[in-house]
Amino acid sequence: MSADPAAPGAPPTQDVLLAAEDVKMHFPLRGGLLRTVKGHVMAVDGVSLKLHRGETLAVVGESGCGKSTLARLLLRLLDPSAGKVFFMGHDLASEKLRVIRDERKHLQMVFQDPMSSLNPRMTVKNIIAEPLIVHQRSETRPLIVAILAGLVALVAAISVTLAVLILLVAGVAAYLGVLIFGPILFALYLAAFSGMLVWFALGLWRLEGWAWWGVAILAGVNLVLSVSLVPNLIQIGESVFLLAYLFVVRRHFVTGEEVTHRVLDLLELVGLKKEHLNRFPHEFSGGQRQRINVARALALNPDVIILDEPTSALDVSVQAQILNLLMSLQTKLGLTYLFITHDLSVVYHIADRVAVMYAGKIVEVGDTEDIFREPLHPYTKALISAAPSADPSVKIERIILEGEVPSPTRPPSGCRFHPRCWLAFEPCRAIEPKLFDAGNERQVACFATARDLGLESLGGPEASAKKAPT
Amino acid sequence: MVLRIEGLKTYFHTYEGTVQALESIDLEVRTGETVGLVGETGCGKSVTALSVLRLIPSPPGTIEAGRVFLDEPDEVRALRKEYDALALDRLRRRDAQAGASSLPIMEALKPEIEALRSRLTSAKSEEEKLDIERRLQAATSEFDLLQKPVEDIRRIRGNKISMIFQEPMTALNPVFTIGNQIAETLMLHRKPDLCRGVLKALELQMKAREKKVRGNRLTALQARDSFLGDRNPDKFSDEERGIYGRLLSLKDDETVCSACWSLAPGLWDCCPSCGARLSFDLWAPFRGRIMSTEKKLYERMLRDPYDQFVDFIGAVRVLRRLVRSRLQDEGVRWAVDMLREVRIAEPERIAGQYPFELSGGMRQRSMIAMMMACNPELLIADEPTTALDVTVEAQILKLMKELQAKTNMAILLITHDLGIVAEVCDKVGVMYAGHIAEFGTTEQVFHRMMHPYTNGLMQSIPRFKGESAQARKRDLYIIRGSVPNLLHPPSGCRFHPRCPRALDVCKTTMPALQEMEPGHLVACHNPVPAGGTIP
Repeated sequence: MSADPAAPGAPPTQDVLLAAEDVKMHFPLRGGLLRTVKGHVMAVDGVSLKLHRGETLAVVGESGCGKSTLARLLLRLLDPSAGKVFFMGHDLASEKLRVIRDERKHLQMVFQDPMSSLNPRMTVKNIIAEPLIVHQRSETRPLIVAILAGLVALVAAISVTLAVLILLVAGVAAYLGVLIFGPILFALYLAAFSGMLVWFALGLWRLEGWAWWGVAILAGVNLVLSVSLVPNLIQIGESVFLLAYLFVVRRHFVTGEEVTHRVLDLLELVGLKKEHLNRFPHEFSGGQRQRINVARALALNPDVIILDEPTSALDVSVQAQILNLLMSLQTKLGLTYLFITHDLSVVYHIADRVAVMYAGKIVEVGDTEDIFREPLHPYTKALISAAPSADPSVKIERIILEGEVPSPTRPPSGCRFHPRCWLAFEPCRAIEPKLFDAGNERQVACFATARDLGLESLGGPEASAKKAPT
Repeated sequence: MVLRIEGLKTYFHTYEGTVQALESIDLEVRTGETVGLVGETGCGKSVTALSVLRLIPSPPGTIEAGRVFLDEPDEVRALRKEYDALALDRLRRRDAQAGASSLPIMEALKPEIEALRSRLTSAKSEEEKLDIERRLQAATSEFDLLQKPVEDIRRIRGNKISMIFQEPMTALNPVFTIGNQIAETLMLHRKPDLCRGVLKALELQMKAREKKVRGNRLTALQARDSFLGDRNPDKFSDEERGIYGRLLSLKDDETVCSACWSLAPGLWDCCPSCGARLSFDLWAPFRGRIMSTEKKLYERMLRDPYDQFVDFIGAVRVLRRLVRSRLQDEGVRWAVDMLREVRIAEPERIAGQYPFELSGGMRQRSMIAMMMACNPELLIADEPTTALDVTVEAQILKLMKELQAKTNMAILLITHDLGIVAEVCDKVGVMYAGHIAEFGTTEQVFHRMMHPYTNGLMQSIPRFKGESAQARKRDLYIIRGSVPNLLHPPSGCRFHPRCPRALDVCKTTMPALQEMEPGHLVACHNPVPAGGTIP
């Protein structure tokens, strides 16, 4: 294990972008008449990992080991039972969703089944534009609240002013003999003003086309009325504010045209064509559907994309296309990937670092090259030797594990791998091993490995100070 | 030789048009061999398997042409070739487009067949008779599965040819226990063997009855004590040790017959294994009569598994028990043995469980147990490990290999995972859009591939065993374009729109499989030099 900085696996920079600390997800199992909690499914049980900027970290493991749950926890699609997820200076695991809204924008996900993760009733354009529109709405929500509050205050102020003015005007009008025209003009004014409020509230979401013109016309009518009927500064100021909003503030909104442009750019980026814009997901092949998924994930310029088995449902030749696309996007846009998969050859091809999960825990983390050349944890060894190789001349002594992945409701005591492990000895059955440093950015949770490496303290935190012999 | 597919052509007639799913497939699977069939989704791998078993849903699917020979002796095959040449010649004279199916060939050979039939009746020596019979078999395509009546095919499915499906959860019936499902296969195809077992047990029981053997119903805990007595288990004979071991493996509260020390569960008033009377037997006066009736019925069943009278008894609700219950019990007992064979822990318990109670690997194991129950000559495994994890996949593949070594069956392995093929198969057929593009030994196809499609496929997969670190992160080779729609397949070679080596001839004529080196068949006008790569 030589630490070569120029090795292809070494991430370009070492700053940590996303860090999970001891994340746990225990789903309660309810049963009985009163639906009391009878136990827990320990899907993810104390996972810590760091994601460096620009790298690809692969999470591998068998089905049911908690890979996908981990992904959902990192994105806060699930609320973790315990632990912290640090991303851009916030703890995604515990802070309110409203607080971390902007941060989550930079974390995106591509799901396994390309068909079921696309809404069959939406066109490609709407699918890819949806994150743009949703996040634009959430960005402008404080602005909307401020504007509406301002308007309410205005209405209150205006109504008081009006009450005084109307009395005045009515008196003057009656005196002038135009008693009839006063109320009519006032009613017209009220209708225009309340209509404008409604138009404004409705149209603000997507101020384009008719909605924009509606607000503009009403603001104009308001201005004319406020000037002509009873000239007062408040009303004039309000109309001017509205018109200014329409022409100035609105520029910060994404318009229909802009959305289309962005969607077209994204389509080009993932290798789809302009004519695909208004098609529905069922008109595409599996590979193209996965491209749409990637485009949607890219829509908000994320830093991190979590890829949950993105090629498992695809044929080999299509898989090659998607892997090439992902690799080129990474170099082009400087993306960071968390790549969840069970296919080891894909991991070897695309990942800089690998984290191996077993029964809700990470058992080994390290540089891809190191792990594949010299796996330390017995489970990693078995996994790598069990993967079939597409070369009949490569004959490898295969380690075939007995038994199956343990049930996450009642995991074995001590090391979760010990019932299937051929190296297990006493401490494995009793104590749960922690990840210890095996040198060269390598961490392993195994007593037998620690013993073989000559580390006396069995995986405790104090073991991390020592270096493993190469 | 187990299976030989010749010119198989399967179409699906849908509203949009005819999907030309298979276009003249030729394939050969020999005894003890594992043949892999690889290709992308929709290339017709599964359709080939289903066509062989005649399981194509019809409508819309029809097998348009082709023949599938099962267990055809070599002598018959040689003769058949002669007859085929003759028949095809006659057919072509009538209609140039005549396909090679058994029915038109038989029709063309009508005079010959009739002559052979009349010769058979007048044949004198045994040798002559045998020769004529062979000729008759050859002329009538006796071994062609596609021309056999459905009843005959039913006797072959699950018996001589069995199939493992991709998703064990959908292939197993959710409302029957695993043991019952395996027993069902056995009751369909192995009735005589089951009958033999039943009769043996019946005989024992009748003898015990004559001798008026009585036993007690004991719990396993008591049984262990009373069997041991004050003897030393180290001095047991082999038989005794076996019995004692079995008693030890039982749970404490299970019921055991004290006469034969085997399990005697339930409310039976006599031991199901040895027939000893265990408690007050209300039916005792009739028991003898019932048993002798059962014996007669099972003997009858043994003589002819499809006996009409037995079927009639089985159809009458109140009498059904006479011909079914013991057979079923025997089947389940056999099923437990099969489950033990596929190395399922606690097979007795698993046999009583439903599919949803098992994990994916266990389900696939019990599926294999079911398929192996009848000792098939050919096992068709359609993506047997696609739904499983790598470590479980390794277990299942190892198990299949071991069972193959034991029974010398042939395996047709359908998969899209080139890794599995490289690991397990002796020969490989690469399919593309309803064609076999390349066929050869695994070594030939993986190292000296000649078809551009195979070449592209091999280059497009990421690998990690035996691969240098420099190849990581490099762009993978991509076969341009996408799989054609088989409603309107491309003219000529179906791969030509995606092929970097396509010539003009590829657009017009479909290449036939040609033998490039011994055993290495390639369907290409412009093959890649063996082992070379395409840009």
